[in-house]
Amino acid sequence: MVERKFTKEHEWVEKSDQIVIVGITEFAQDQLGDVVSIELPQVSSSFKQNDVMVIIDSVKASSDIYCPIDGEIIEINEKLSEQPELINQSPYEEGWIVKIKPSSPEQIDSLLSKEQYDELVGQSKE
Amino acid sequence: MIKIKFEKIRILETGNNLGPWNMAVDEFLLYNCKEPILRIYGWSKPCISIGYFQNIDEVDYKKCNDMNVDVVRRITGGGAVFHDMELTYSFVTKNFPQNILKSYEEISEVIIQALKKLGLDAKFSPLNDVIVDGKKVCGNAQTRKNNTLLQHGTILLEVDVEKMFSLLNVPIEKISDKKILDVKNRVAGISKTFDQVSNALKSSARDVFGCDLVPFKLSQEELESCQKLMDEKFSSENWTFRR
Repeated sequence: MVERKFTKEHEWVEKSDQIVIVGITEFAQDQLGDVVSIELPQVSSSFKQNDVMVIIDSVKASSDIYCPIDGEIIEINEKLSEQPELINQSPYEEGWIVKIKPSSPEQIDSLLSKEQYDELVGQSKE
Repeated sequence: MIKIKFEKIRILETGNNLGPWNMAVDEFLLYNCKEPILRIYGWSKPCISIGYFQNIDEVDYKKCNDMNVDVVRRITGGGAVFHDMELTYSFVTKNFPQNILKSYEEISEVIIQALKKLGLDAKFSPLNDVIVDGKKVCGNAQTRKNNTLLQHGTILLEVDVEKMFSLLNVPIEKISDKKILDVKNRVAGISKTFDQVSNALKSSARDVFGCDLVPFKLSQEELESCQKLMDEKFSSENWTFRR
C-alpha cells in the first residue's frame, strides 16, 4: 500500500518511484464545497516548498494551494479543467492535481503522517 | 453563535475611489495584515468587478467603456458585480474559522447587526448573502491566501437592475422583462445613506467582536505600494483580460 503524507494546509502527497502526486484531502474538499474552477500551473514550471502552486475556486471561496515540496511540475491533471468536480468526487484518485519531480525528496519525510493529519483535522473541526 | 473575538480591529475608511484602486488596496491589506482590519469604501465611478476565474466575455466591455463604467477583475471568485450606489467593506484577518460557511456567518453577523441598528430585519442566507424581507441586500466573497482571510462584500444602497443587465453579456433570450423582473424581486437596496451604514457597521463590529476600534490611515509608503499594485496589476489589460 502506498503511504500518503499530508500538509497542514490539507494537501496529500503520494510518492511513486521518483515522482510525487499531489492533491487535496477529503477534509479540504468538504470544507470548500463544490469546486467550480481550478487554475493549474504550467508543466515544467518549478516551485519551492510553500509557494502558491494552484488556485482553486469553490462555490464558497477561492483558496491557494501550496506546493508541498521543492520540485518541477511534470504533469497536471488536465481533466480538472473540464471537470473540477472530480476534486469533490474523488479527491485521492481521479481528483489528483499535479505530479512533481522533487528536487529535495527528503522534504517528504518531514510532512505529516496520516495519524498526525487526522489529529490536526480533528482539532480543526472544533 | 459568535466565536471569533478580537481585542481590537483597525478601521480604514478610504472613501470613494476608482475600481482598480479599490481592488489594489484590498490585495495590499490581504498580504500585509498583522491585525484584523475592517475597511469601508465606495466607488467614485460605477464599476463592474468580475470574479478571478470569470471570463471577461461575460461583460459587455465596449458598452462599459461607452457608458463610462470601469471593469476590474477581483482576487476573489464569484460572478460579476455592478458597483454603483453601495457601501463596500472588506474584512481581513489571520484569526478565522477554518470552516468557510461558519466564517461567512460570523463575519456577516456584523452586517446583520448593523442593518438591524438601521431598523431592517436582516438575516444570513447561506452560503454568503444577507437578506432583508426575502431580498438580497448584501453579497459577499472570500479568498484565503497567505494564511489570511479576506472577505469583501457590497451593501446595496440603491439598485439599477436595467443598467446592470445592459452591461452584462447575458444571452439575449435571458434578458426578457421577466428575467429583469425576477432579479428586481430578489435584489434590493436598503435606501439608507453611505454614512448611516458606515456608522452602523463600525458600531456593530465593536459589539459583535467585543473589541476596540482603532482608526488608521495608510502611510505614504503603503499608498505607494497600492499605487504600484494598481498600475501593474488591477489597471492592466493582462490582468483584466486574463480569461
